[in-house]
Amino acid sequence: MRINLFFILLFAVTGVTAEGSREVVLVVASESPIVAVSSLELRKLYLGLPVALQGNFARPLRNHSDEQLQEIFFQSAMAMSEAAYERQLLSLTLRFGRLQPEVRHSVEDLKAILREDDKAITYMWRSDIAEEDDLRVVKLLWLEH
Amino acid sequence: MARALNTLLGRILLFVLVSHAVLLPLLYLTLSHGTRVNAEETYLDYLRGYSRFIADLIENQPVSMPDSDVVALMDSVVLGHDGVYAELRLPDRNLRSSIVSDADEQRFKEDFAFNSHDDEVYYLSMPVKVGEQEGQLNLGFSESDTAAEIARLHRQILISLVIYLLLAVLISIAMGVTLSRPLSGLQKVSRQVALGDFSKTLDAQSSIAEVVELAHDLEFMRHELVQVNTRLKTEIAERQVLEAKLRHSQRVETIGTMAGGIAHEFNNILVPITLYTNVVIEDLPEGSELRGYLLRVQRAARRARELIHKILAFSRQLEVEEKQPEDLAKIVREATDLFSSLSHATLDIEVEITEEPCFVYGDATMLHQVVLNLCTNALKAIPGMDGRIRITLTTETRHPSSALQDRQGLGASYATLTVEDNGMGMDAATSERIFEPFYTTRRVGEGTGLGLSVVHGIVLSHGGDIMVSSDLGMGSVFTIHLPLIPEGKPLLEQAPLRT
Repeated sequence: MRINLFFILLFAVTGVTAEGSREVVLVVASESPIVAVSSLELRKLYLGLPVALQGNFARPLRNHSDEQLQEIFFQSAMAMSEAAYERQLLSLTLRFGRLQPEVRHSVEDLKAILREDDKAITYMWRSDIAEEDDLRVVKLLWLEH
Repeated sequence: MARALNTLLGRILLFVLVSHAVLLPLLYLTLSHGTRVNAEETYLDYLRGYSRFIADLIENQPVSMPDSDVVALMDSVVLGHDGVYAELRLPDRNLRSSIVSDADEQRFKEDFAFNSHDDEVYYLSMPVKVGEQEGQLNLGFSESDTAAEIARLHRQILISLVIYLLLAVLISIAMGVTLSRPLSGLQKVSRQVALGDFSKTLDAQSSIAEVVELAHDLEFMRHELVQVNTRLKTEIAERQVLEAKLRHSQRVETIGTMAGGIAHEFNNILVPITLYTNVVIEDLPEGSELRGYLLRVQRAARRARELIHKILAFSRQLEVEEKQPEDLAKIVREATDLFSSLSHATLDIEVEITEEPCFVYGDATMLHQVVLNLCTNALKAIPGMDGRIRITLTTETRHPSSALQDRQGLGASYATLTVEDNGMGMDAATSERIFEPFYTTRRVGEGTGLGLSVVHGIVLSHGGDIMVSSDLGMGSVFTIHLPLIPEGKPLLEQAPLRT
């Protein structure tokens, strides 16, 4: 537990691991009631399905600010190709009328939304939130090998 | 080579080859790219889904899996289809498959696209939460089979396109041959037509509308050409006939002028001979020997006068003072009746006279003489006692000889009088000279050679013309055309006639 806290603190401060590896993390506002997200919940969330996280319906945001971030998101978080993801999303939208996750192209926009909406959740480089006290990491999505 | 390319078949082949040279590489690139992307995407979807399944298997255990079970699971992944590498990396430990080495771990380099590191292994990592620890599931799968499948698909596409190209070339050749065959046929016949052989018909033998229309147009041109050619030949022949007639007319005219002049002078000489002979006869007693001689001189002078009269009639210098509208049918009927009564009984005379009004402007006595002269001439052309003479009189609205119409300047109706016999006929040379004065084929003493010349002169002086058609041994046909005038119409209102 202490080791985990150490890593979290270390990541929060530096944005990278102790070995200098980059990380992609799932982020919410510090005051958000969302404290944990499983892999299955994450996939459902980003496919537009309603998911209650600790009793709250989360608002997923897609981060289109970085091409590599996109690739990591599809491989590590969604476990499918971009084309398959878009097909699934469209299929669910057409079949069940689900809302598609909002797309933002700026990290600053995403941070602003996270600060305004404590149900909002998104993914970004850990380095992007290294000095943001009002944002919190809820899950590690990818760690550079 | 250049000639082959300039043919229809060559052009079609060239077009097909050039267009395929441009389009097929593009088609190949598009198809190969599509199949590659599709295969790679399918492969990545499978790998990512499978990896996530393994991660979920570890993550969703009610009680954390013992490390040995995790290692066994990693071994199972590596031993599975395409499996190359598997490890679960946690913050405090690293659970790697027992059948991979440290060297394999060194090669781990995460991929996000197919064959992105040229190592033929697709490495990926999945976030895994084991208990309270967040770790990474690192897996590696061989890309070789998928790459081989993609290469196989590319080869199939290439082979398909080559087959397609060959089929396109074969179809083009067939199309070129189908198109060019009827055109070649048309070309061949056109050349024959150009060389003057109009007997061949320009038929396309094709179902292609443009070719059929072309053949139809060419056939129309050939047909027109044939008609124009025929017309031209006819006109040339007519012109030759007319030129011959003109030459003949000029010759007869010259002879007539000369004969007329001589006859006129001879008539002047004959006047004092006749006058003084009459004076001397009146002074001599009846029964005197000298009176008998002078009476012979008087008869000879009368015959000479008649001869001069005929020559003047031929040369059209005879004064015709009694021209008036005359019923030609009546004249012909009277003349043929007279001729029938004078000829022998074994002669078959057919007379066919139109019921139509047949008025001409002329001298009845002269026209009477024309009919009698022609009938007499026909009778003399029949060697034995048996023979046939056919006389017809018809009316026509248009004269077959355009020259006559041109000379008259009229498009009026004409009477056509024909006298046909089945006698000995004439050769062409005789026909040519038959209207010349003093020309005769009979023995000396049987004719003066002035009968037909007189007929010729009378007909021309009445504004008509005369033609003869004869073959040796087959008889002769004399045809006279005389311009008709409306019955009973005052002379001043009638069309002018140049006589």
